[in-house]
Amino acid sequence: MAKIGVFVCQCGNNIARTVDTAEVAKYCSEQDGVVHVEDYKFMCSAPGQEMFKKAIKEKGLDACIVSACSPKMHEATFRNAAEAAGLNPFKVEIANIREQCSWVHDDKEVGTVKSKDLTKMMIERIKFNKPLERYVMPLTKRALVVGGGIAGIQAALDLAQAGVDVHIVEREPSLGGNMARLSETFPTLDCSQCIMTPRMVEVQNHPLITVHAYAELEQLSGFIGNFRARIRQKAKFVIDDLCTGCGECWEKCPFSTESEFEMGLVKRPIIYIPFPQAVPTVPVIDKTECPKILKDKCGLCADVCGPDCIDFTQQDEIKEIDFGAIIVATGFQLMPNVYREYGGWRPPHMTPKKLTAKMRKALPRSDAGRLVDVINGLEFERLASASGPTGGQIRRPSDGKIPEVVVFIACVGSRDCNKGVEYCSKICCMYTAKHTMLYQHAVHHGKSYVFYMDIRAGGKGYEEFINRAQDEGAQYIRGRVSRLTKKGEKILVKGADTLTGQAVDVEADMVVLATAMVPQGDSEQVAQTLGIGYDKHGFFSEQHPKLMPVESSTGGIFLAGACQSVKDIPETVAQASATAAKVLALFSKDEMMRDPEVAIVDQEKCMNCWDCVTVCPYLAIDRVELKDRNGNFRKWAAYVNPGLCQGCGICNTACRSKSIELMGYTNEQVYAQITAFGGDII
Amino acid sequence: MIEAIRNQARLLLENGDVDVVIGYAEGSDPSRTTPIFIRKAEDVEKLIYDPRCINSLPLYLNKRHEYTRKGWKKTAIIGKGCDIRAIVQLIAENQLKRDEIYILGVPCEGVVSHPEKWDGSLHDGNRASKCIGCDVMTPHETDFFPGDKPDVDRSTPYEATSKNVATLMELELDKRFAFWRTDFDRCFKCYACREVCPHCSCNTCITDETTPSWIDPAAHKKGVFSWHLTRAMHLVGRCTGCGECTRACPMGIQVDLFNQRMKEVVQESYSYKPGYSLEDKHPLITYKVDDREDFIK
Ligand SMILES: Cc1cc2nc3c(=O)[nH]c(=O)nc-3n(C[C@H](O)[C@H](O)[C@H](O)COP(=O)(O)OP(=O)(O)OC[C@H]3O[C@@H](n4cnc5c(N)ncnc54)[C@H](O)[C@@H]3O)c2cc1C
Ligand code: SF4
Ligand code: SF4
Ligand code: SF4
Repeated sequence: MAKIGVFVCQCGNNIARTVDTAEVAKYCSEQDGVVHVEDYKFMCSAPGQEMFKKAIKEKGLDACIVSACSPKMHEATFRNAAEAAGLNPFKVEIANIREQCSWVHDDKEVGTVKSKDLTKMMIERIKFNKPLERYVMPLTKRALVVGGGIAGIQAALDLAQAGVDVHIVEREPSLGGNMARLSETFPTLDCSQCIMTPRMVEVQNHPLITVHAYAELEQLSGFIGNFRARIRQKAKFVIDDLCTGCGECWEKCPFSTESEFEMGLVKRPIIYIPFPQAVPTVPVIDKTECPKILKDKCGLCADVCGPDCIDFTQQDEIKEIDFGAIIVATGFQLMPNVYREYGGWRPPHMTPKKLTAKMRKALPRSDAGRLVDVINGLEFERLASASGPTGGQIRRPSDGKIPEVVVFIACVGSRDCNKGVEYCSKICCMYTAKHTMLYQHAVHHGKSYVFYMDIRAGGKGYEEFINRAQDEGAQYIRGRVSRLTKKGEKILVKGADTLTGQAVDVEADMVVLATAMVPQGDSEQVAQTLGIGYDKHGFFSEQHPKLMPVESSTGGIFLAGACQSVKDIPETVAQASATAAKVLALFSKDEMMRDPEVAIVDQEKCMNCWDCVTVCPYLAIDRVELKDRNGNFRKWAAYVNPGLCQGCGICNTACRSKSIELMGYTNEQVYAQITAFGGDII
Repeated sequence: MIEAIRNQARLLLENGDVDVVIGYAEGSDPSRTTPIFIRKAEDVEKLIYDPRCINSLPLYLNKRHEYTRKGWKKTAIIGKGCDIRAIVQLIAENQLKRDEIYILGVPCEGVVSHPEKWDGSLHDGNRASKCIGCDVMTPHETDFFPGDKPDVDRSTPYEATSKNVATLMELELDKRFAFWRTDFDRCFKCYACREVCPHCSCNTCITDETTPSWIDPAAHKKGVFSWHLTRAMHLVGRCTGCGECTRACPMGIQVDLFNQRMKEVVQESYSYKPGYSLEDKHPLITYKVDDREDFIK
């Protein structure tokens, strides 16, 4: 006969408000096998846990139920307490009467009945719980950083400085990300390149950091502590080890195409580095444009290359590397194609490969009447940058004239789910203020207007920064712009000033849109490759919005920077360092303990359909041959590798022959639980 | 046509290319045919094929059946299109290897719904519902086929849905439920529907499980409903629509209505047709980035 203890928690008033805990405890004490009950204010408190341990020891309990909050909160707490009291931790179960009961009901009678049911179900279930032992697993102390923007750079440096072997996978030919595009940065107006490039060089030179530039993560298998990444090193057609970065090739290349780094404002050669300070300085050949690769014409770069490092036959290379933890830092893009509303135009290469339905709605219907001088914030950054296409002189794209009047429009695509996204893109107020200053500094007699909805400048030195922008001449007009039309060489901006209630028309030479930050166009695929969650916009989801903001939904995978939500540089860097700290904590032990709640196959029953092999997201299931006693082949069967299994249970649902059991969630346990709730349906 | 098949079967047996040929022979009365296992070349004359050849022969290829344990290395089987769907599905589910099987494909103009309906010819009054809208009258996967194989477009959904499914779907939910309640009253759980299905391949059927008994073994409403619903779910994306379950039911319950409906849902939701690809895994266990997600609310 079982000796079960039931501990009902009031959670202060959280549970007691809608559940009569004393009544639940009394009901439980009447159930078969229950020899001890408690009804207590805070089971998770120190005295609560002492009471729990004491009962186990004194009453010799062989199973315990805690009717309290979600197992996500305190299952581990009570399992550890049980272990300390000499009871196998897997003989402890939680009945969730808070999240699944008291918090969602307001009728106490209903709440009490439901709590009784939930607890009773657990009592019947636990009679089938078997003691389980934890597994010890090895741990690979090497970290992978996906994305080499400022987030990835910071995380990699922090880790390497703590002695961890780090690999960065960056899909562009150079590290740097969007920050490399910025001219000067708010709130201090220091030069972005100047603060960023030393870090890039530091990454390059650090003996513990390996950079895989122009590479992509193709597949990820395994689990926390034991991931295996398949990295596709895209063919650069340049031999890394030989290249000195002298630049002969890209200077001599006779062909060109739009530069992605320069937002299509100028052209770049076909063999190129994205920007002069690129790290690594090894160029790549754009195989979609190179005439030598496409039709065997040209080949000039190979002729001029001193060390002979151009190889037109190079193929993509696949590398398989083991990692213990992963930091995702894939960043953001500006919302593509918000220009329609404003009659604007977009360089063709910016069309993202995968658009969300919402973005698709915003696509331009035609290019007719396009306004070349309507640009986005990153394009403005390039115009204002000393290393940009105009050498830092602000000139408009159409005719290269210095614009005398510039209109900045805030919240383009943000805070409006009909025209874009519903969230506030948060950094646009700040970079717009910065843009007005950069403009005023470059064009002293120029006039700048900002159309805004609200100013959101919550940050250290941020409000002051906005005031400074206004002092330096920017005229802020509270209101939206309804239309942009061409008027001779100018753009007629039709707007409204909602403070005075008047229509405002401005004839501008150039218009800068403060476009919303959105996730990378392929963020959903990246999330699926990594096996992490993402929200409806495509930002990667954190494990808990408050208490676990840098952990992804998958153990061992952490999130840094703008791939998780809209962020400026200080926040990005802070989060990146936080991920490094998390990885260091994980790597502080030499091996990992794994829960024994894994799947096990009944190999005689298994009919080798391999459905489980197909569904297992962790590739934990192998096909094995069973032999008879003479060593002859007898039958095929599935085998679950307990080291890889995460206990998700998907294979259980796929297996029609019920040949797989998930330890801790066996058919008998679940069946007992369901039938305890009972009720004939038909 | 059948002469060509017989000749090929004879050749296969004489050369020792196959151990057995599974086909149809004349049955106990003129309206019936019977499955036959031919091991001697001289017996091939017994082979026939016409609209009375209803049985789904791939059933015998299912590992669950003793026939496959006779040590035969290679089996030739006469297959009409819908049966070949079943063979292909067995291969896709790793229950059979393509090279263990030699498929003698037959051109098919349809079969009768039940031997009792046979009156000497096939017509709209006695044609099996699965044959309406069939896209494999010229079979898709064969090793031998008498005559030329025309190019057939198989990209569209197969089979018009039987009228009975459509009628049921038009009913209000409670009426539909009432229909099943009365119909299932007759089920006494003989499991003929399971035994005849080429795709029921578990070593232990879930309904025979005892620790725990997920499906109540008794033939009361609960036991019957849980059996039939589980059976239907286990065949989603796998049933190749032979209709044998309904034909085998001694109580005349149209159990394959469930399977037909599920086939429709799968085709609509995932554009997937079981039994056409030797490799594809069924949609309930696979995920594609483009899969519809509109049912996730
Ligand atoms: C116009 C504008 C002005 C701004 N001005 C300022 C400012 O003045 N001050 C400030 O604090 N902030 C500013 N910001 C914000 C700042 O740019 C971001 O906070 C910062 O760049 C975020 O860094 P990140 O590393 O998270 O992302 P990113 O910079 O986007 O870097 C992501 C990196 O990951 C790579 N990547 C993406 N997907 C993959 C993949 N699948 N595999 C491998 N690699 C991948 C990308 O190529 C890129 O290198 C501004 C932003 C904009 C748009
Ligand atoms: S799903 Fe079940 S029957 Fe199929 S291979 Fe896996 S364990 Fe075996
Ligand atoms: S429970 Fe099954 S599907 Fe999930 S990880 Fe383990 S073996 Fe794979
Ligand atoms: S469920 Fe019925 S129709 Fe479908 S394959 Fe099985 S026996 Fe044939």
